Amino acid sequence: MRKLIYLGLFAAAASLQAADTAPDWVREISGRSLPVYPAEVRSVTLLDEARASIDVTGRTITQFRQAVRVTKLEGRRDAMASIPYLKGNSKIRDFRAWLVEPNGFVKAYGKDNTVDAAMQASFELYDELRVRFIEARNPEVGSTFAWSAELEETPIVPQVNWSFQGRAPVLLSRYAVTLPSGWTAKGTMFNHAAIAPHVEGSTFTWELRDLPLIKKEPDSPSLHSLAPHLGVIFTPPDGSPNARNLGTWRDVSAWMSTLTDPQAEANEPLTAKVKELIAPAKTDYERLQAIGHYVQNIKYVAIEINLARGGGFQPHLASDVFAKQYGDCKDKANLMRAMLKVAGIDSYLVNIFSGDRDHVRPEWASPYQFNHAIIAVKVGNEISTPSVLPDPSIGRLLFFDPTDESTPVGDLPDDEQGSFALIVAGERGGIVQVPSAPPETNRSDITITAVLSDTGELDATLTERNRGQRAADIRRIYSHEQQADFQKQMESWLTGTAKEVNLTQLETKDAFEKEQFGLDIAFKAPSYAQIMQQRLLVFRPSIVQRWNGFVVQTDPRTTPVALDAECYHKQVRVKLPSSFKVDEMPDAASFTAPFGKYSSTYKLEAGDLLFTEELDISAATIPAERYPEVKTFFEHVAGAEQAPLVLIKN
Amino acid sequence: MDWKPISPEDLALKTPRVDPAADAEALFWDVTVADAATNNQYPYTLYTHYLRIKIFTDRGVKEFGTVDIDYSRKTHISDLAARTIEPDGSIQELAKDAVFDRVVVKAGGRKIHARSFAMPGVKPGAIIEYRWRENHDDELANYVRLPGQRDIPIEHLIYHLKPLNNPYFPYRMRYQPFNIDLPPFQAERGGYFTSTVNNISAYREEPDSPPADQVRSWVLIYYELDKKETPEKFWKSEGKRLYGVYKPLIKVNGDVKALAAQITAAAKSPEHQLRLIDIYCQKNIKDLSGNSVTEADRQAAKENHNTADTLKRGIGTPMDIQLAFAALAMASGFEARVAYLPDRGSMFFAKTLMSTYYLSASDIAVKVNGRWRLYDAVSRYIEPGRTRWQEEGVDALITDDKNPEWVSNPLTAPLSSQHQRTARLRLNEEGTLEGDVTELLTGHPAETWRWQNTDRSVPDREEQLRTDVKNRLPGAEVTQIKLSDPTDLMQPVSLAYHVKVQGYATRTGKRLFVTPAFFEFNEAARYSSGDRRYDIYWDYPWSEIEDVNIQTPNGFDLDHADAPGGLTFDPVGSYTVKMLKTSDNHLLYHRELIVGKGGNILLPRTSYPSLKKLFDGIHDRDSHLMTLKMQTATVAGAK
Repeated sequence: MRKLIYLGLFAAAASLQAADTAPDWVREISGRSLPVYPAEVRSVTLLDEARASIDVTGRTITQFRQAVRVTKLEGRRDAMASIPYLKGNSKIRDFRAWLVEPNGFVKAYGKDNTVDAAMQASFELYDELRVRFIEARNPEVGSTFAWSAELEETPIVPQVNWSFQGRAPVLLSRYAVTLPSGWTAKGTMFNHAAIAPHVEGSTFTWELRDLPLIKKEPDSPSLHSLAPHLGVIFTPPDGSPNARNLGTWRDVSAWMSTLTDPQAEANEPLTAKVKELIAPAKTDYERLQAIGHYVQNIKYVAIEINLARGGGFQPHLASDVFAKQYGDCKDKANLMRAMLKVAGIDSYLVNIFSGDRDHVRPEWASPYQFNHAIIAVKVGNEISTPSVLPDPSIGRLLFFDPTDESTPVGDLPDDEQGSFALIVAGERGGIVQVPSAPPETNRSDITITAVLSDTGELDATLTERNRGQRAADIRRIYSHEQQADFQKQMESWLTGTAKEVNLTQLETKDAFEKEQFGLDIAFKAPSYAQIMQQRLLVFRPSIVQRWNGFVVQTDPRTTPVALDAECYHKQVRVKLPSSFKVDEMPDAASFTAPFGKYSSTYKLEAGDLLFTEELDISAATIPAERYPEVKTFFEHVAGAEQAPLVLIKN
Repeated sequence: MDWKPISPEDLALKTPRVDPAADAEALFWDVTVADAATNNQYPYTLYTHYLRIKIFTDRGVKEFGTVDIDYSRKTHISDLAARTIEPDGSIQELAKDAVFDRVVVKAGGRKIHARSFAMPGVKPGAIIEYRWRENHDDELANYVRLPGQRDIPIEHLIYHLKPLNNPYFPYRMRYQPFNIDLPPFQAERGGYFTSTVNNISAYREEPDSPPADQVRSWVLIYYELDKKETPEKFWKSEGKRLYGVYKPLIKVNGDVKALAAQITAAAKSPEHQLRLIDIYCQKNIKDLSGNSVTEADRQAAKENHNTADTLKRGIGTPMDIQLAFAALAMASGFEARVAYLPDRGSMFFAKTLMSTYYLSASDIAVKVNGRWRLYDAVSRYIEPGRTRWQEEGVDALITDDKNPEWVSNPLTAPLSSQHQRTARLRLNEEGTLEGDVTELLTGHPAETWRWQNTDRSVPDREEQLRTDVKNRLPGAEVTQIKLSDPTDLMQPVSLAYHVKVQGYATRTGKRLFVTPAFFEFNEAARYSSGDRRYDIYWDYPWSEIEDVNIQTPNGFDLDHADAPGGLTFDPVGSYTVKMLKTSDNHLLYHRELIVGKGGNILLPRTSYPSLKKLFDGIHDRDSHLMTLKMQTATVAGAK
């Protein structure tokens, strides 16, 4: 036994000898105990800190420190350090990390453990943005992973956006900046009450402590709309020669105009193409449609170069994009602008955020808020579509996204409607709220005519007429799938409610310019209705389910619910078998909520069952405490849609 | 390299020739693989690709209008050229500055590069063509896979091969085609051999189909000594060679014997002895390639020179652990060997494929009562004494210094991979169903569950179960969850929970409609597509047994109950349903589905329509509704 103890001591000593050492701040932080958190917390950010120092030219050196405690197996993936950087513009120094296991064993990570990778989205052909990262390999639960680094860079504009939190709880998050003499810093808080910076000399510090977990929940706003973050604008003194001063949206517009306006010039081949395209058009709107549709069909390819000098905001020359027949969003918007100019129509580049209509906040004048470019076209009073906005200084503007191939002129993608966007129009430009289309413009009308046999077989024809964004949704699916795969999707949709579906007809009717997309379907479902004891036939008159379901959550809701607008109207006529009569028919349903209404009716007419259903939802963000109201509404809708009709043999 | 002339027919082509629904088609894909050596005798391989693609639709423009060529540090890309040809013959060349080279990832001195470009001026109707060379330093085209079927239909696929020609190199280049009707290679000028295949459709995935490499076409090229061996002779020789590789690593000394005796002290049979050894290895030897070792373990670990080292240190590579198992088995008096097996999850193996390249898995074969049995001491997911499903239903090569042999590792029966579910529930008059559920998984379903859950924390395992139930029963409340420990391989996986589902049964004025197949409620039909391209293949035989007991609400009677009836589909499987109403208002439902009887897990494509019909029939029966009718007095009372 004594021998074993000696062996044990020896092993421990050997282990300690092999271990690395960690700096004091890491040792101190790894020993901290944590408050009690909900079971779903997988890791906790103990410290997230950036200390920046800016010189008169805008060159910025930032020291980062971060420490994460892994609290669950799933949190092991959070034991990672990463620093995005711009190739040719940034320098990363002293990038180091440490893993402190619960038994005190320390592993240090340095250059040999660092991975340098292209930070390129799947839709990009090339991007100068890269990331350097260090990852701990399957750290034990209870381990602390900490890292530090220094980043030197010159941001394109003297602004910063500091996120105090991801989803994980945070004990302390801090952003500190030291400015040159005469400079000022103005911070704007989002998703959190305003906090005043602690100012000491020329150093400004913002910090938040003890931030709780932000749960991931269905139909929730984006994390950016929930997590606290800070936007800071640094302003040099008047007359400062080197640093860019962008304090207002007008400043941002004016600066971006210098980058974009020179690119929107047409050359001879492009001019000829425009003339060819608009020759048959009789009105400005037709000219706009012809050009818009042409630009939509230019292949989307993103090449992100020259980013340190504004390349991320500057489109390629319109004539080059036209010649190559590819470009990214700003290239396409800029090409369209150049083409409209040839057609005698004024337009402006517009910066917006794609994917989250609540992302851009008007109170922080920053180009960093955008990830997408569209176009605003000056139109006359004769053009009236939901995407037109009267702008007090520029006039009536029709917004259009030439990157979205499924949304025609006159409409806008769902996620851009209602978003704040920057009109790039020199000194006249500024932030506006893009219009939202009323729910009825995004509408689905379904008509089903069917014959039900006395064996329960349903022989049905279905026409679906979609307008606006509902048409764009299904057009998007159709344009991305081959015919055979699209048919499989339709079969899968129908088998959601009808068993053993045999699809006998599938035709699409795309009226792109009219913002409509239709489906004509015929199918047979041999056992749609269930025959029971040879005397009852039971079936659901709704026949097919809606495309967009609502995910009901049973545990307490912590984040708001974001509802998209929906307008779904259905009419079903089923010829019932003559050897049966109706024994039980569901009651008509009608209920309303502040965000929507639903109604369904049933009627018998000359041996046919007539069923109607109408669901109208308005786009809304509803606070978490009102979730039970939303849940009840959609549970009632589901109940009404699943109500069966009972037939009994004569 | 020059561009090949384009025929007027190809320029004018408006519809695909190989697949009428294609968005684009490769008019040809020309691949040259040339092995050579430098003056200093360093080998290298030069690959040359030349593709010509006709674009038919906007989707084709999007999908094929950009090109990424990935390559590693020891590969040099050269002679990259591309151009777009419009139907009128006008040409746009790819500008040199439109090609972007980037380091995709760089770590520990290794780099992966990519060269990317967008084809200029591509529209439907255009032809795009591009070509490039890849020089791979310090390697030969040995065990290189040449794709035949890709994501685009190919009208002419042309391979050119040039083996290394060196008097000091005794090996000859061979090729093995898979799922492709490849004409014999013909000699051409300059030491090249060529073969052309026409009209190859694009590869598409299908559910329940054989492994991708078993259905899509490809060619393996490799070098081998010019020996004219029969498969029998080849495998005998390989079995002896492989035995010689690992035998010196197995050390059965006194310590190992003592340990083996200690481990197996309580064993009641030879099988029990091996089971105990298996469990010992799984529990006491950490797998260095696994997720459970700490950084301290990794830093402390040393190379094991033999099995005595592995057993003493309690940590090792997967092969160290397998060999340690073999040493303990041998120390307990068993004959044990390393067995090499193909992986049925990758492709199907035949002994005429004379290369150990195809035997990618290994187990330990132990002779028990005169028969070889296979043990996998590394897997943390399958119960002791069984192998992964990928290693079942295949022959294993038992290595030996004198008489290597092939031994069958048969498929296990459907009942040994079982998902058994039991629910005891109560239905109220509003249609809400509530009660307790238990699920037991054995065999491969248990293996899958353990694999999915070993690296999950307990709260996340519970959350995953909630999610799985709610995916089928939206709005269900799942509470009182009790789950097995996924590291416990001795017991079946057990999942228990309480569930409450509002609106489970549909209420009309005087009836309640309830689906007795609680575990199948809202499940989609297994096959929704009307057509089929490949054979149907299930990974392993399996069975499902469900027992549901529903207490029906007072005031309701079962209205002329009828059971949906079973289905037999011999020799592949069977489906049976039994229902019973007890006198105290309990509806008892029993369902059994058995699939893959007699090892029938591969069915020809031609059987798809009848198989779909069969599974539609099962789905139909699973969706069967029972009617509970309100008693007359209750109806009257309600009024």
